Amino acid sequence: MATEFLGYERPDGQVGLRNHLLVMATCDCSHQEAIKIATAIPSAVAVTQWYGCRNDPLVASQMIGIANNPNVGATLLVGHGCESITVDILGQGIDKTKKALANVVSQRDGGTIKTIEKGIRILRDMATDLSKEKMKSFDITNLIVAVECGGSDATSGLAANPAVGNAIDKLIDAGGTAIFSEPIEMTGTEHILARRAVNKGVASKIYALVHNSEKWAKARGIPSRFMSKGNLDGGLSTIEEKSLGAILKGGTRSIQGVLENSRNRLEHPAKPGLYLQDGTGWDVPSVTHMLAIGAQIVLFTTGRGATTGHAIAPVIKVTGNPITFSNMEDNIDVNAGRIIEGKAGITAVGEEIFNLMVRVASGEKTKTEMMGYNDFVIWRSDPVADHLIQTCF
Amino acid sequence: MKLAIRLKPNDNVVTVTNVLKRGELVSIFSEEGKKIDNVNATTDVPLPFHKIALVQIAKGEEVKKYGEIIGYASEPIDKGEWIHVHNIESVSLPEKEIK
Repeated sequence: MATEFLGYERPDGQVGLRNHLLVMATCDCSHQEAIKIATAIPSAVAVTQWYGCRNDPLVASQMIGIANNPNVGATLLVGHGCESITVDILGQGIDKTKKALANVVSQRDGGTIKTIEKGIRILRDMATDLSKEKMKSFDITNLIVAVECGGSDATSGLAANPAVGNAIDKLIDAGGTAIFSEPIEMTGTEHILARRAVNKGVASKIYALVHNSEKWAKARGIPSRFMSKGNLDGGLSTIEEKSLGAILKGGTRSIQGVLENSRNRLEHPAKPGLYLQDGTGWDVPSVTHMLAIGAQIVLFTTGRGATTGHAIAPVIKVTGNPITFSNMEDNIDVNAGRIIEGKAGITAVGEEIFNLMVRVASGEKTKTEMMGYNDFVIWRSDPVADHLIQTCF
Repeated sequence: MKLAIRLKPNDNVVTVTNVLKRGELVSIFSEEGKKIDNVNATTDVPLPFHKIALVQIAKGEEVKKYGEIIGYASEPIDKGEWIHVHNIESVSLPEKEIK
């Protein structure tokens, strides 16, 4: 098993697997300018958030986290002018990583056309500088992997998640870091996860994480069968059954901590190892949230055939469903359905996933990257609802 | 011959890898691939990767998969019967949406 990969060393010491040129609109009002600017430069990608112009610190923290992700080589912020998450607020957080950063603002720079022209020139120069950067060899201890499942079915817990979990065990044993989230999909598994906590404090945090998410679901009147039609058709009958399969994607090693979010700070992994994150069960925002705390690559399992990729990170798709693989081979990188068919063992597929992960880290493109997928949604947790749930339930 | 996987020794349900017609014989294998038992399907199972009961389960009894409780039987369940949302309910969350 190779445990070294090629990456880009950033000024703050983080290691990027890709050299993305990020064009980040502060809000939907400047998204059109961002798209037009990014379209002019082939390596650029435009993203935004969709929660309006108020300053929600959890949203702003994730935007800063995304620009600070080492897969991003340089960032152009595209502001509108009257929004509350300003280019200056974002810029102050992003500046700490000492990567190239600039901004354009429609209301300051003379409207759409002048803003776009100015933005394209800045971006062209950034792209030229990024193209000069050389990749270097790094040890796997520099790798942070986000693990996600989406469009699950009963094969996810039988094949795809245990195989990815096996790859995560290998990563942790080699000194790497992994994060998994989706607390709602830990319902009924807290006693299993808490047994793996490194200490009593972390075990208490795991119980609190899962119980809070249950409280959140109950307060909103969300039933056990809030799962998608595809989850149910795929043989998952209760949230506990889905969860028991879902947590297998995190492997079997000790859990070092629960990464929390205060409203203006996202907790990052303090040292290598396996972590849980307090986030959402909604796939694209969940992945975006894990990338916002420094994950560089995503292992994504699916049963029904999720097509998700990401704007700033390679996403490796693994299915445990042999029918889905033969039906959607264009979207899936690894067929763990061979486990169900009795053609391969969990350990063998785990090793295959690990090896592919190291090759993808070094630049090999995944199926979502080849298709140019640039999924991106920032997660927002409603602070008023959060407060009410904590005080009333 | 149709196949099913029993994940842990104390599970009372198995995952069938195919669809089933009532009366069809299902070979049960352990996670390690060892043949354990045969069970006759006592209902149709309309979709692949769904569950059938390995033993009779009384109403209110635990339904176990992964060696853990995935819910309680909301109806009496026969050996070989399809188990899904019509006869199992969650432990932690309500079954019906509040509207």
